Amino acid sequence: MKSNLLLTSFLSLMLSTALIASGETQDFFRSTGKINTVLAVVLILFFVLLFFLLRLDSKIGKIEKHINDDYKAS
Amino acid sequence: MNLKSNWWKLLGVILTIYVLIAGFKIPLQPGILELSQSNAVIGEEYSTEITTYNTFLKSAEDLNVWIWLPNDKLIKAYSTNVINETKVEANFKLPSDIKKQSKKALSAKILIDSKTEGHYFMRQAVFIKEGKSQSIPYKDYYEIDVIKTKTRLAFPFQHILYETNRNTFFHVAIWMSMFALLLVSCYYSLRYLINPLHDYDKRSSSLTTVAIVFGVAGLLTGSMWAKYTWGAFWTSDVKLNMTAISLLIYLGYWILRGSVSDIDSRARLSSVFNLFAFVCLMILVMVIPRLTDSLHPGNGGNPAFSTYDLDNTMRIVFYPAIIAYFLIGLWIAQLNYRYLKVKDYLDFEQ
Repeated sequence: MKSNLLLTSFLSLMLSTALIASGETQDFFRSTGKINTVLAVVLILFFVLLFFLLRLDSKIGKIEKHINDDYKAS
Repeated sequence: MNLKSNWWKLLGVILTIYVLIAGFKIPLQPGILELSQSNAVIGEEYSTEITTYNTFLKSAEDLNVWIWLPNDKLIKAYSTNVINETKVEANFKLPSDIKKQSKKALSAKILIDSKTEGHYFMRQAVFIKEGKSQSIPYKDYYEIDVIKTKTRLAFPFQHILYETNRNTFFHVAIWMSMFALLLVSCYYSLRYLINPLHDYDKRSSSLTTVAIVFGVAGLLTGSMWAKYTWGAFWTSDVKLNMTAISLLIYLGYWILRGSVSDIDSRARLSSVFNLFAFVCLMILVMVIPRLTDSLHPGNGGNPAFSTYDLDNTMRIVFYPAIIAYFLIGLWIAQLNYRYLKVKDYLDFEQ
């Protein structure tokens, strides 16, 4: 569930980037010396790392759940 | 968290913050965007309107515009007229004795200098052609030494790139730290092959995983950068395609790990594959693009990181950036490694 939400948010970010790039506001990334391209690059970097960390988070969560179930059983 | 053994995590965070602040706050050097008239004739008057970037020409002191000839002699504009903060009109008298090496037009630089903003120039700005008029007699040339203004602490201005020059600290640095992570991963793979302890395999595989994530980030950021400088998200550039191939090889690493169920043979096979993939990556990304033409700087025969692409101001942010991402990557890999350790332990107990 959590990873699904993350995936959709990530994809929508990518999609909106592509839309901005192809639409009328094409000058957004080229304005003021293309500084917004740098911003987009930093954000992509951040989101890729966040994506990986949240995946790791959910994997650890599964183990935690396993441990908690074991406690209840004993 | 014990700071004595985890100091490198703190260092990674501090360096990342430094890179973000310095990478965005240090300004770009002023530069020249375009000239309204770039054709000049020897022995005639030449006047042009110069559009600059990142300047405050109206408040500039001792503003001078020069034509910088290929033999390092300067011709001073006899009058300049500031139109607005980023536009100045300059008028020159081109002496009739400018020497030309060949029949082609002489390509000269335009240089602007002022006390307040330092000096900046544009390559191949003016093309000087042979003329019939001999009206302007010999005039003193200035030596290049007359430019004494210092440039301030700023990143170099480059055409088409403009502010995206700063992507060097994000896109390029993430690739470099990926190489560093893969190198450490190979070290553990080698240690596994010498002494088959599963601990080494866990370290190696988590490092490779993080490195692949960094590689994907590098590809996405590079694609973004390419769109607004080269004009397309994906070009047929050699380095791009070779990087895509090497990422596919590393995808094979994941598939290999997923498909072998026996722990020992999985660890052995993936260790060997990891070493093989690293050698492939080195050849595909670092060697082949140098043999052909590439849009990437430092390829197609030129040495990488020349003074033109990476000056000293960029170095003070670029090198810390590599170390910062490397340490952050190590941290994430360590978390993954600890997760694998706990998982293994629990499976063992069952």
